[in-house]
Amino acid sequence: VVSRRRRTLVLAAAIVAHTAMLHGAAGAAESTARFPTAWLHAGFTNQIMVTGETLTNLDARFSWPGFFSGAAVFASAVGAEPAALLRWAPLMFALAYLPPLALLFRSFTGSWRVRWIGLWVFVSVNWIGQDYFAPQSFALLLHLIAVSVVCAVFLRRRRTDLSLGRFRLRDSMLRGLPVKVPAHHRAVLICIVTLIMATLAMSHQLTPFMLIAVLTMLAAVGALRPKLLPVIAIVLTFAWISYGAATYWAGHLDDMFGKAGQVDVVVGSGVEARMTGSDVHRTVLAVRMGFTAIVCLLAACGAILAWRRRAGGLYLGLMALAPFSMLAFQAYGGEGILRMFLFALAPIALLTARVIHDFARGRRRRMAVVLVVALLALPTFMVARYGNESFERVTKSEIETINALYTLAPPGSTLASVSPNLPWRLRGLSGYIYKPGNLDEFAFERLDVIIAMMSGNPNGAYLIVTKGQLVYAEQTYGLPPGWGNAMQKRLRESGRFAVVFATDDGVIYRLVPAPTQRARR
Amino acid sequence: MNPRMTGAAALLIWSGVVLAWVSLPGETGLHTDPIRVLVVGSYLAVAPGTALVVALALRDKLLAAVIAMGFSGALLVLLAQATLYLNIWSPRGAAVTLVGATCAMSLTALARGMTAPHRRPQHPGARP
Repeated sequence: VVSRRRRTLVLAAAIVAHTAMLHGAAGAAESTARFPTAWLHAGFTNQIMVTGETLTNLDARFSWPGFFSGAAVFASAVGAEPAALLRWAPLMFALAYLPPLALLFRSFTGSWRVRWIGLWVFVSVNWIGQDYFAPQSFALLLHLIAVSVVCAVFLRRRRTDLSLGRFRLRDSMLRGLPVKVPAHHRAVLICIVTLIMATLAMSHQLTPFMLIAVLTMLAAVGALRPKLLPVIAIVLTFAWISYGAATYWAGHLDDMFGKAGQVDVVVGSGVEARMTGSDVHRTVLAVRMGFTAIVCLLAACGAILAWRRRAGGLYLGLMALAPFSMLAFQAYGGEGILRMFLFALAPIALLTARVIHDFARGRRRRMAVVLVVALLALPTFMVARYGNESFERVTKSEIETINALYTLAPPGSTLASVSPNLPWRLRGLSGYIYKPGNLDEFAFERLDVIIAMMSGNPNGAYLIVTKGQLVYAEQTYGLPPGWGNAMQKRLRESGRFAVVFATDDGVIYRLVPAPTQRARR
Repeated sequence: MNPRMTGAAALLIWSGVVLAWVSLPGETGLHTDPIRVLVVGSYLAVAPGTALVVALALRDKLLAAVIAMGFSGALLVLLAQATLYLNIWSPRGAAVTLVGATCAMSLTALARGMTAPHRRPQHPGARP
C-alpha cells in the first residue's frame, strides 16, 4: 500500500514531467522564443519599462497594461530584458495552472484518481497555445485562481433542487472536499479575490467577462454564498473600462459590442473564416476541431453521468457553458471561440476525467483501451499545438535581420512589411511609422501597393521580408509556394528597392527614388 | 520554533538576498544570470503571498499555495500599475516595495508566533 504522501509526490512529478514534455518542447528545441506576437508583447513591456508610459493611441492592449507593467517590474528585478523571458514563459504558465486546477477539481470530487486524470486531460488537451508571453496567459492564471478559491471556499455544500419551469434539476455539491476556514479568514479571502478581480480588470479585455459569466452562473443557481462577488467583478471591470480604457472604447464601441446578438457572425468568424489557406494548414485546423469536438462530447457525457449521480455535474456543466455566453457579445477578432473553449477547459477536463475513470474502473481490458487512446492523444496534441510551427517559430536570423533594421533605419522612417507574422517592434515602438496599420491592408505580392505604402517619407522607407512572413502567407492566405521569391525578384527588377541587409531568413530593402526622379536630381 | 515561525524566518532571509540583488546597480540584458532569475523570479511569483498565508496561518496547503500565487501576482501588478498611473514609475522601486511588504508580513507572522500560546495545543486534538 502506497502512502498518500508518496502517491501525491509521484503523481505530481509525473504531471510536471508530462507538462514539461508537451509545453516546454518548443522552448527546448528551438534556438529562440517562438511566436512573433510574444516579441511584440516584449516590446510593449520594454516601452513601459524604459519610459513608464503607455501608448494607448498606438494599440488597444495598452489600455489594459497590467500584465505589461507587472512584467516590466519582474524583468527589471531579475535583471533581464523582457525578450529574455519569452522562451520559457509557455512552460512556466502551463505549470502555474496546475495548483489552481488541483484545488478546483478537489472542490468537485473526492476521488483522487478523477482529479489526477483531470489534470492530465487539461495538460494534454490545451492545444490553444495561449500560454505564451501575453496578457491572456496571465489573465487565465488569475481567472483559474479566482474560480478555484471561490469554489473551494464560497460554494454552498448542499443538495440543489433547481426548478426551471416544468423541469427540475437536482444535484449535489456534497461529493467534493471543501476547505473549512474560519469566518475571519473568509473575509480576508474575499479581499484577496477582490484584489485578483481588480488585477484582471486592468490586465485583459476578455477575461474579466469570463469570470463574471462563471460567477453569475454560480450565483444564479444559488450555489454562491456571498452573492455580491459577481457584482464586485462587474463594478471593477466597468470601472476600469471607464477610466483606464476610455481612450480605446471612445472610438471602438462598435468593435467591442458591434456584434452583440449576432451569434452566427461570431461563430462564422471563429470557425468558417479560419478554415482557409494551404492543405497542410487546413488539415491542422481539422485536427484541432476534431480533437476539441471529441473532448467536448466526452465532457457532455461526463456532465450527464455526474448529474445523474448527484455529483456536481450540473455545476460543472454550467461552468463549462458559462464562457460560451460571450458568443452573444464578442467575436474578439475571430478568436472568441478559441478563448471560450480555453476558459471552459478546466470543467471540461474534469468531466472528461470522470468518463474515463468510470469507463475503465476495475476493468483491465478497458484500461488497455484508455491507455491506447491516451497514447494516441499525445501525437494528436502535437499536431494541434505545433502544426503551424513552420511560421510560428522565430529563427535567430530573423531576429538578426530585425535588429539590423532598427540599426539601419533612422528614427521617423517608414518600416513596411508585406505580410503579418513578423517579430518586430521589440524596440522603436513609437519612433517609427509602421505600415500597414491594419491587417486588411497587407500588400503581399502587389508591388504598386508596396511602393505607394512606403512613398512620401523624407526620412526614408525600409521593407523587411522574412521567411516566417512568406510561409505564413502561403499557409494561412493560400498564396502559391514560391510567391515570396517571385515577389522579391520583381522588387529588385523594379529599380525602386536596394538590398541593404540580408541573412538566410530575411532581407531588408530600402526604397530608392524612381530612375526619372534620380535623373532630375 | 514552530513551522509558522520557521517559514517566516526563511522568508526574511530570502527577502534579504532578493533585496541585495534588486538594489545592485546594473544594466538589464538578454544574457541574464540564471540563478538571479530563479531566486528573484520565484520570490516575486510566490513570496509575498506566502508571507500572507503564513501570517494568516492557513491550514489547507493547496489553498495556501494557490492564494500565495494569486496574491503575489496581483500585488506585483497593482504596485506596478500604481506607480505607472501616479507618474512615479520605478520598476526597481516597485520591486523593493514588494520586498518591504513581504518583510512586514513575515515579521507579523514571526511576532504572532512568538507571542502565540504555542505551549497550548494549536488545534483541537493536537498533542500539547
